Amino acid sequence: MPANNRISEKHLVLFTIAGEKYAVDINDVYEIIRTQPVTRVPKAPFFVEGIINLRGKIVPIIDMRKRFELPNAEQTKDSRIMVVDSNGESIGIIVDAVTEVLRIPADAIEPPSNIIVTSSSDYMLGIAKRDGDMIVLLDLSKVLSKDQVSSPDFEKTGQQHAETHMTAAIGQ
Amino acid sequence: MNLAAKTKRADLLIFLQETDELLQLLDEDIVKLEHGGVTPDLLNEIFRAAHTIKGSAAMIGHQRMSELAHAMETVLDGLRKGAHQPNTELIDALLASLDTLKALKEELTSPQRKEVDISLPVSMLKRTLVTTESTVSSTKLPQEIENKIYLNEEIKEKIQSTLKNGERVFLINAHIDENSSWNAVRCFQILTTASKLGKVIHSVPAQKEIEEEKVSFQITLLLATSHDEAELRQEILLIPELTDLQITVPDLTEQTNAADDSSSLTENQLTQKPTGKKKQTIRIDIERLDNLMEQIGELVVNRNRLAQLSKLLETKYKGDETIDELEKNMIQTTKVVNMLQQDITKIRMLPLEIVFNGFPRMVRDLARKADKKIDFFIEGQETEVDRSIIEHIKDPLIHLLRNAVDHGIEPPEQRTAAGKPETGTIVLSAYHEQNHITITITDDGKGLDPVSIKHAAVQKGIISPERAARLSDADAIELIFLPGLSTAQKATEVSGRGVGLDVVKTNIEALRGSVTVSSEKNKGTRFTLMLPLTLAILPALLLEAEKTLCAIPLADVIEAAKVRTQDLKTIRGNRVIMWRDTVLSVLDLAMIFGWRKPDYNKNGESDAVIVKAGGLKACLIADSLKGQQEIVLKPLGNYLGDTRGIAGASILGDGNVTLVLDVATLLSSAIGNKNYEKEYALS
Repeated sequence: MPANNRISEKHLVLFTIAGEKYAVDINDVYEIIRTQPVTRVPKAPFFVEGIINLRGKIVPIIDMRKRFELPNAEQTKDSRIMVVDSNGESIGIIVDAVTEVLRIPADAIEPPSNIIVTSSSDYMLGIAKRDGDMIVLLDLSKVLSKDQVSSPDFEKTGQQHAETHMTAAIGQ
Repeated sequence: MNLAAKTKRADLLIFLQETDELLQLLDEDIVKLEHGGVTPDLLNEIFRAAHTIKGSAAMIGHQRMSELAHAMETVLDGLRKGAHQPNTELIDALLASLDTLKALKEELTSPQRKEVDISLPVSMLKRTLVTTESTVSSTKLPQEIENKIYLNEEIKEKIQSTLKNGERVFLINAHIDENSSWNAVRCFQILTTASKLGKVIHSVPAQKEIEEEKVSFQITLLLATSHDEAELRQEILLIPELTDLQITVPDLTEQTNAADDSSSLTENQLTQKPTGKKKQTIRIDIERLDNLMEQIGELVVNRNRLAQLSKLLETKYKGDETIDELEKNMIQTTKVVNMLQQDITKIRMLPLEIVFNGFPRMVRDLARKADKKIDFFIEGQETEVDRSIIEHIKDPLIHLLRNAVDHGIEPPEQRTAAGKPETGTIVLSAYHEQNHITITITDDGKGLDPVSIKHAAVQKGIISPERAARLSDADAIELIFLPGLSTAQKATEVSGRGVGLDVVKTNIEALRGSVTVSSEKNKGTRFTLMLPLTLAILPALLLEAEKTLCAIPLADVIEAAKVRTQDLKTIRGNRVIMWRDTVLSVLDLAMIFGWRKPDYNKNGESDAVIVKAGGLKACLIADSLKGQQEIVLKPLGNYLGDTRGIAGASILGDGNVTLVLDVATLLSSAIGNKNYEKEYALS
């Protein structure tokens, strides 16, 4: 690899939701903890599970399956809460499993417009290819934004949405 | 605007901060001046403020700001010397200049602003000088001397120590021929001569100024010396071109400017005491303070838990020595933590003065604009409240004051016709009462007319004519807090648009306070605000609703009760209950929050809490009550934002999370104005 590529490298945390691989920039991740009972908050958006006590701090928790309107599933022993940064505040996102941390060169990441046409590309920063896998690099600020709930895509059922997403991601 | 070279960002920040404080000071003081409080102390304070602004502005290169401050300084200097008296024209000129200074300061923080023109305030100031010019006669000299050297603490100390050493202190005032072109040199010579004869404690102009030739034709010195007056005179008179030489002993016991009988001068009459406002303070980042507060709060919660556990251990292992030790220690720790809690709470408290200090000026300006004569008094500004309240109380108070000026106090002709004094009175008063703060705004204006209020309410469709007929006068007046109601004929610039008072009420209730009004037609009106002494640590009542813990601040709780299903009635589709001769809405928490489907057939008894907030009362049903606890209220954060009914969350000693209810918004969103309907539907 040419030396000047070293600067443009992404350091990512990989995780899975409903069988799909996702990643976020490691700088946005404060910590990863086991799932724990969540105190519900009335009248919060439907994908907000509630709040937890994280060493004395109140942290809101989002269920990513609900957020992406994917089918619900039982939490397993691999399920984790990733505590991430959202405009200086800590928010926890529930994922099925956190698999690894990796560095990939920036040129291995394709911008979404090349591949995907749906509006769910709004919260993708890009797609990373690694060993034949497709990893969706998420734009946390969009994912955590409450406005996204009304994007047209969400009118489809969760299943349809997942299908479009997967097809597009695989499409070559 | 280009700043002076070498002005660093840090310098600019300091300039902005200091100038802010000085401008605030000027604001208050100039208004005081107008109200007849003309004391030398006050005049000097104002003069010094203008002087400092002039210098600092010049240093960072803000030419126009420095010029304007200089023009103010000239006028103020004349005031100080007694050359003219403050009249309305002069005060207006000073206030206009002050406003321009503020705008000039703003230029520094908003670069796109166009440059402020200072010619108007400068000419206003110049005009006041023209009408009252007077030459300072030589008989005024003694006063001049007093005015020229300000005996601050430092100088006084030096004088005292000199006197203790057996030396003498002389006040030397020398005049130089005004035709001389060597006045700077002469001043220098006088200073040097004096220095040879003793120690110069202070001189005006100072040595540096003389070296820079910033002199006039007069120099005044305080000299500590062992020589006597004759010797000094002999030496100094050797210097050519002197027209007058006065050598006196500074009088430390008598005040020659006896313009103020009322001020609290101690035996140090000539001392320029800085006004009592300046306590020893340091600047701290608010965030650090808040973090500290939070930690202490957590400490308190954990202390409670420890105390609980300690008690449990004691019962379990009665008589064990180590456990006894633990118990003793717990008592000790509890004491210490309590004191810490109290002290920290005080840190968060600030005097209401901070909020009130801009009001005299505002009322004055509003009264002028409305052509009304108004006396404005403030009482209890030293009353302290929690910082979180301070931030939010200002706007409601501004609104109420504006109302009092615009709609309360009548124009002078109307007042005289009604047999009242021409000048109306508005009083802003604050005091502690048990565990809350009461703030009242009282005016002796035309009062609120229940009849026209009822009429307007019916017209706007807010209440029905039948209901209006049944309202008592006191209740009718309370209608003004409803949105959409305004009986002002035309909206004035800032009030009368019908959106004001309901917003005031909502804002006050958001602080867990309440606002009420009482009035008598033609006599006056009084608005009363009651606010809790909010602490970050709240005593609360814990309860469980559908397996979720909720906490209600005890301040909002009237009592706990048991409610039987058969006692519940339904009125217009809403569930109510009769409780001590009042009809209350019944709210099932789990149902309101959507955790349980409505189930009206459940028989038996339920645990309930009677609550009140923001003028509304209700009966909240829970699954079980869990007792009282002190909790630290934590906000839910921006992400979960405004959830009506929830004030935040808290972490209990055992680590569990509980929601903290905001009873005021909970009730108003669940019941709203239906309260009225309920009360009258049954009567």
